[in-house]
Amino acid sequence: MKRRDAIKNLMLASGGLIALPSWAMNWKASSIIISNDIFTTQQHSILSSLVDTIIPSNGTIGALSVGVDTFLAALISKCYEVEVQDDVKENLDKLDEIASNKFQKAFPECSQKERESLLMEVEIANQNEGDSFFNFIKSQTIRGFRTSEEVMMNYYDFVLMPGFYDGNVDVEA
Amino acid sequence: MASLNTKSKKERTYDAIVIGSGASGGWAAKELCDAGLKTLVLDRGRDVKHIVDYPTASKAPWEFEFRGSVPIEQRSGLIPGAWKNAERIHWAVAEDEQPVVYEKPFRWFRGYHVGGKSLLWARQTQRWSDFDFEGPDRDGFAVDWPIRYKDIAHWYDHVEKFAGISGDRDGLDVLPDGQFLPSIELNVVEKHFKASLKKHYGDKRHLIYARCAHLTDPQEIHVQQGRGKCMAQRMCDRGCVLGGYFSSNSSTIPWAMRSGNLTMRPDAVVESIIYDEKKGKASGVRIIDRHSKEAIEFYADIIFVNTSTINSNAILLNSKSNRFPNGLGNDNGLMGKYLTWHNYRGHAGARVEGFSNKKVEGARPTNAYIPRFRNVEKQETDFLRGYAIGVSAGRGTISDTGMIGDQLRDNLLKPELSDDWYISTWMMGECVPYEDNHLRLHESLVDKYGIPQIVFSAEWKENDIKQADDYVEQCTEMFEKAGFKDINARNRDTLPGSEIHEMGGVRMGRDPKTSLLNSFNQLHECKNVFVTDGACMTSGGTQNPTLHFMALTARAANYAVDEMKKGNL
Repeated sequence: MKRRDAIKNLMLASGGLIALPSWAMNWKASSIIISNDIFTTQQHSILSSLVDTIIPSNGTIGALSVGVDTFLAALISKCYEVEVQDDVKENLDKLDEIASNKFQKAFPECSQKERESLLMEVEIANQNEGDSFFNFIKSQTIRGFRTSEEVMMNYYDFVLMPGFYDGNVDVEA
Repeated sequence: MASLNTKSKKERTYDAIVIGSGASGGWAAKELCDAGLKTLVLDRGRDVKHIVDYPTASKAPWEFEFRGSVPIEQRSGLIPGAWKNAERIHWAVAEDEQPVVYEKPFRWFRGYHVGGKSLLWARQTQRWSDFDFEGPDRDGFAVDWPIRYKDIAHWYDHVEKFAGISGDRDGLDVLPDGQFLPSIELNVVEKHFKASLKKHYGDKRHLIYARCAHLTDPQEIHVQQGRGKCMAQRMCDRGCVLGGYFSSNSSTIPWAMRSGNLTMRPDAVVESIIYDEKKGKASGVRIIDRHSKEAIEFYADIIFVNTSTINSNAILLNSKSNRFPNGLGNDNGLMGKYLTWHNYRGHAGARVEGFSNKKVEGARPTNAYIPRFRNVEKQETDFLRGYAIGVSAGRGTISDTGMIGDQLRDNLLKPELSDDWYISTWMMGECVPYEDNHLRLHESLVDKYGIPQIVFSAEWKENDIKQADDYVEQCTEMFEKAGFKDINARNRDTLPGSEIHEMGGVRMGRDPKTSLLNSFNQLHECKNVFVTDGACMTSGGTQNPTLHFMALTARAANYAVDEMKKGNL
């Protein structure tokens, strides 16, 4: 994580215009491309941990492995008003704060169980707000996961051109 | 200088000008070009070439960086009510392109690009019957249509064969059969509903396959157009790379282009039609170039006005001359009045038990349809006219998402069939046209081209509300008789115009005192101008209107060619 942060900082400092050194090529492209987004490096880490907590990969497939963190960062940076963006950033910072109060470490450093318990706390605290921060992030995480190539192709049998319709198919028992 | 002008004028002179390149304009272009007329087609928007200008066609969801969402900077400045999703954002119109005054709330959806709304339509193609043509006369509203089914049947055939219409021959007098390509079998729940209607309503209510402009089995004529079979991608309104459905861009425009007689002029905002006081007829069209703002005149012997209902009214109203101080052909002052649209206020849904052993596979581009059954033979209710009903049943999948973590992931990866099927229906009612439902030009406000702004003044009437109440009642009864559960039928206070079927304002009729167009869509008072889009509608019927506009256009274009040959225009 530290090396990744270092690259991000390097890229940010030079406006994202430098050619990548060869040692950086080992990184997955999606994890080093710096989009012109609104989040600090730490907020990125929290956002990534957050979507990883909502849909963990557990060795198979999860929100991070299909790039939901990249999607969310781009979506919030480009498609939402400043008020929403500020609210998201504030809430990401708050998660770190709650984590350090409760577990004496940053949110991304917590275990899955610890992070889940923190989110449950946040959700309960915001229960009365229909579009709470947590609900927003969760629904967008689900959206990003469901519309990813890996999930649509390998789990939903997405077909671009079905070319047929059968409205009387027996359901296998 | 004088000779230069002469030469230049000659270069800007054609046999025919068609204003607008949507479904009806495309048909005018095709018929006129096929008849050998050098034809200029003007469109106020940018050019859209089939296939190459469909930037999102056939894209999978993950190929959009923001999935369906659109960045704020790309989204700002667009007219309210425009589609603002990544798949279709390229069709949206900027608010400053043509500001409009809504004296009463109305939704006006515009398609400002070559092909117009023929790229965006719902592709439903049901024929009119004499029950529709005879409506105004029988029920005492508007004026009598100057034509009947027999006058247009041949032209429905003509248009359907070329466009490619999928349908069943149902043998119903309310919805005449046409030239059909194979249909797609209804699903098991729709068939159950069909059988239930037959059992409880006998010959009075029918559920059929909704006829649509999709190539289920392309014929030679479609192959010649370069179009292929519809593969049910269900992304039609992004543009279809297969040409699986009918649009001007996939069909009539390239066809007309191949004749060598068509000139396309995009980015041409029409200011007015030029009237020659000496000759006593229209001589051309004045445009403002969308980019340079330069005014340019084009000339022709005949002019077809196909810019969609509202704009066709506005252009004619703005075509003022000594002879026509109130707009071209508007001696009786009725132009812009008797605006109508379709009543889509009613919507219903229900849960369907008893089919948990069945599901759907694949996809289809259409749905089921119940033709009008109210007030068909005679007046039976306390409101005039009636409504058709769109019907669609299906069975979805669900995932419990009420948690986070491993369980959530597993649920999302393995969606389960929902326990039951669901059915939904939507109303398509005939709005009676009223004189005070109108559009007009603003006395002082103009747009950036210097063209007067359009003022909308139209609203729902008591007849519309009662009709929608009846839909709610009847739909509930039909659902109950079919055994459906959790019925939710509503009369919603939607904005008029939301269904994108605005019609009228330049209505057809027999008498120049009470109508603007004759039986061949010629302005009574200026015979070389034809209006064949939705503006010509005397009444609205319950059918999706595009097929009707296309048939009227083909009929009028062929008439115009005959009249030209006879030297009458």
